[in-house]
Amino acid sequence: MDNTKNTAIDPFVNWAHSFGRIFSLVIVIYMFAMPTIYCAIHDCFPSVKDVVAGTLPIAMMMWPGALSECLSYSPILGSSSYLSFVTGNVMNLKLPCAINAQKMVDAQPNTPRGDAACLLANSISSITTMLIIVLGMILMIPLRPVLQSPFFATAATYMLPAIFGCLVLGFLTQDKRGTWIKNKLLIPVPSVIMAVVLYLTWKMAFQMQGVMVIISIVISIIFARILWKSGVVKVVKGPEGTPVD
Amino acid sequence: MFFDVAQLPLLYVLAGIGIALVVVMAAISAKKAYKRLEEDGVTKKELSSLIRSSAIFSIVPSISIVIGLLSLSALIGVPWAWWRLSVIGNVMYETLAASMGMQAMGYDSFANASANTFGAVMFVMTLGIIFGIVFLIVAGKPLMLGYAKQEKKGTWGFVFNSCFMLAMFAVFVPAYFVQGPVHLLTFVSAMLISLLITFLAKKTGQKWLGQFNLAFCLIIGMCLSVLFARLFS
Repeated sequence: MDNTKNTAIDPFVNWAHSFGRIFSLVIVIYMFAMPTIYCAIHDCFPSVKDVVAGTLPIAMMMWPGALSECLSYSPILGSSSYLSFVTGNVMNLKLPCAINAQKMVDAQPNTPRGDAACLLANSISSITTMLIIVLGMILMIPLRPVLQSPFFATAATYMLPAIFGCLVLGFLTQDKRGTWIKNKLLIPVPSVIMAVVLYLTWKMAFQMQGVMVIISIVISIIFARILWKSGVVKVVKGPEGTPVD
Repeated sequence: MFFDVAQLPLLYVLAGIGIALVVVMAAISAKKAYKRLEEDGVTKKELSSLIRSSAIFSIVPSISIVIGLLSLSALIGVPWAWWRLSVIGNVMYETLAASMGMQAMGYDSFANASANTFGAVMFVMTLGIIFGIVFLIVAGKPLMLGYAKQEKKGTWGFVFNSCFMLAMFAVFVPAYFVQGPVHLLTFVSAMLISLLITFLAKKTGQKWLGQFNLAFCLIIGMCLSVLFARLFS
C-alpha cells in the first residue's frame, strides 16, 4: 500500500475529522453543562463579573500557548488531534505515542495510514489513562505516601528528556530499505541554531517553546524548499539511494 | 462553604458521565482506525503490538497524572480534579486556574472560600482551557487538509511532511543540552537505552523488545534521572 497517498480524498480521514469535530463539540458543550447543572442544583452560581475577572488573566496566559500547541502538533497528529487535545497531555503522552505508532506501521504523518496509526494509538492511550486515573482515585489513600515521595517527584521532572531521548534516535536514523530523504538532517540546522542562541541568551525561551516550534516549522519548510530545489535534499529509494521522480 | 459543595456525589456522577463519553469517543475511534489499518495491509500481529506498546507506554505518564490528582484534589476536591485531569487539563494549569478563580472571589484559601467560589472555580477552569479544542473544531479540518494537499506535490510533499517533526525536535532537543547535567544525562541515557534495546531486539530476534522500547526507555531513563539528580545536587 502506498503510504504517501493523499489524505484529502480518503474516506477514513474525512470520517475521522467529522467524528472528531462532532464529538469534541459534544464534550465542549458538556464541559459547560456540568458546572451549570451543578451550580443550579446546589445554588452556587458565581457572578459573571467574578468569572470574567478570574478567566481574563488565565486566558491571556493559556490561550496563546493552546493556539501554538494546535498549530505545532496537529500536522503530526493529523485527524487524531481532536481526541488527543480533548484528553490532554499532548506533549508528554499523545505525541510520543503517535510518533511511535507511525514508526511501528511505517507510516508518514498526513497520510491516511499515519492518521489511522495515531488515532488507534491515542485512543488506546486515552482509555489506559482514564483507567489508571480511576484506579488512582480508588487507591488514593494507600498510594499517597508512595506517589508523593521525593523519588517520584524527581523522576516526574525528567519525564520529557527521557521520552525525547528515546524518540530522537529513531528519528535521526532512516530505514533505507524503502523511500527516504537524502541529507534530511540539514533541514533543521537553522532551527537548531536559533534554539541554541535563544536558550543561551534569553531565559524566557524555555517558557516560549510553543511559539518557538511554530517559528521553527516556518524556517524548516523554507530551508527544506531551498535545499530540495537546489537538489541538496532528495527523495531516494533503497540502500543505494536511487532518486525518486 | 467551598468543600461542602466540592465533594458531593452528584459531581462524581456528572464527572463519570463526561469521562464515559470520552471513553466512548476513544473506543469508536480505535475500532474505526483498527479497521482502516487492517484494510491498509497492517497485520493483526502488528496491530496487537501497536496496541500493547501504546497501552504500556501510557502507564508511566498516567501515574504522573495520578500524582497531580493527589495534589489538585486537596485544593478543589476529588470529583472536579478527576474531571479536569481526565479532559484536556494538566495539573500545573489547573492549579493556577483554580487559584485565580478563588482570588477573583476575594479569598486567599480554598478552605475558607464560599460555595459560590467553587462555582467560579469550575467556570474559570473550563473557560481557560477551552480555547485549543474550540480552535480545532473551527479550523482543524481545513488546516490539516491544507497540510495534506502538499502531499500531491510529488517528492516535495514527502520532504514537506518531514519538516514538522524535524522542527519540533530542533526546538526541544537543544534545550536538554543547556538545561543542566541532569537533563542532558537523562536524555543521552534514554537514547543509549533505546539503541541497546533496538540492537538486542535485532540480535536476538525478540521483536517484542522493540514494541516496549519507548516504555522501557521512559522507565529506566526516569529512574536514572533520580540517580543523576542525587549526584549533581
